[in-house]
Amino acid sequence: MDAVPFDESRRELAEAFAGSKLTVEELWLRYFALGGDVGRVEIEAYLAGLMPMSSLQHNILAHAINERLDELGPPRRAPYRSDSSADF
Amino acid sequence: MIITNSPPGESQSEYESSQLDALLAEQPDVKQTLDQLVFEAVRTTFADAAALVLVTDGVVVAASASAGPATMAGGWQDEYDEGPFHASLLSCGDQAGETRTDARWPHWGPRVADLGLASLVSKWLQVSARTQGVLQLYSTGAGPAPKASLDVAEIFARYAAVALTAALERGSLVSAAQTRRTIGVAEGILMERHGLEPSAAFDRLRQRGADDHTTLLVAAEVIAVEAVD
Repeated sequence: MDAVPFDESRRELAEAFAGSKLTVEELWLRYFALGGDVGRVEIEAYLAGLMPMSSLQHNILAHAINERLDELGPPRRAPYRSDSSADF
Repeated sequence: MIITNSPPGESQSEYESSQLDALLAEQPDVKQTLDQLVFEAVRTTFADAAALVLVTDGVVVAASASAGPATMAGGWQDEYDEGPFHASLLSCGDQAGETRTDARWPHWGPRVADLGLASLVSKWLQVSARTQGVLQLYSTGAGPAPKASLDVAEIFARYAAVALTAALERGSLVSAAQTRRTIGVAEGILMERHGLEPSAAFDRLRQRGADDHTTLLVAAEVIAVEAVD
């Protein structure tokens, strides 16, 4: 796995969380289920960049978000038009 | 409402609420809470039949109905794509009307009226951020329900929303604790077998899930089963 600088990995994790459509409460429950040890308030603070988190806890949190994103499926793509479609 | 003997100094509604509290706290999961709420809706409100549906992110996750007619009425709402369930869900609000004559459900209504369910009140419930419920109370009597009956239905609906929120939270915590235990066992096996630190064991488990295109839980279950074999 390529190493990502701490700040960048946290920021990307926060962006992925925003796309997961989960509340912090729901994220915490999923993270807890995967073995996470940190509380809901600490997760919220980490997402906001207010406190650090160990690599293990970050990775568990990232996995909880990624499993949720897998559930949601691929992002919706813009539709194309055929030539026969009405122009306006 | 059914008349029961309440202890001195306690109002009838307080007494019934406390009885309902105790009853619902005994329900082990969301489905059984739903079943109990439907039973209590018929017992304590004007309803002769009732149905309750839970929806998360637009998908029905659990449903219960008091008897045959209420179940059939629910199925026909899907068939015709009309009825109080859809109306309540779309409007995020309550609905009331007569089944035979209401123009909002021209196909569904008359069929339900033929079952003997002449009128209804449909209550929309906000259960959690992503979960809504719709409680449908059917009456064999035509015409609008008296205000007192509607007040009882309103109180019951609020109570049902609280009970369902608690049941969902309880169910989620129990499920999360079970998943956590399974993953912990698998990580323990990996640590013991390969001499790994906890973070390395998690990475190994995550890699196993990625290789098998499964969730961490399924990967953990496979590792636990393989360890026994």
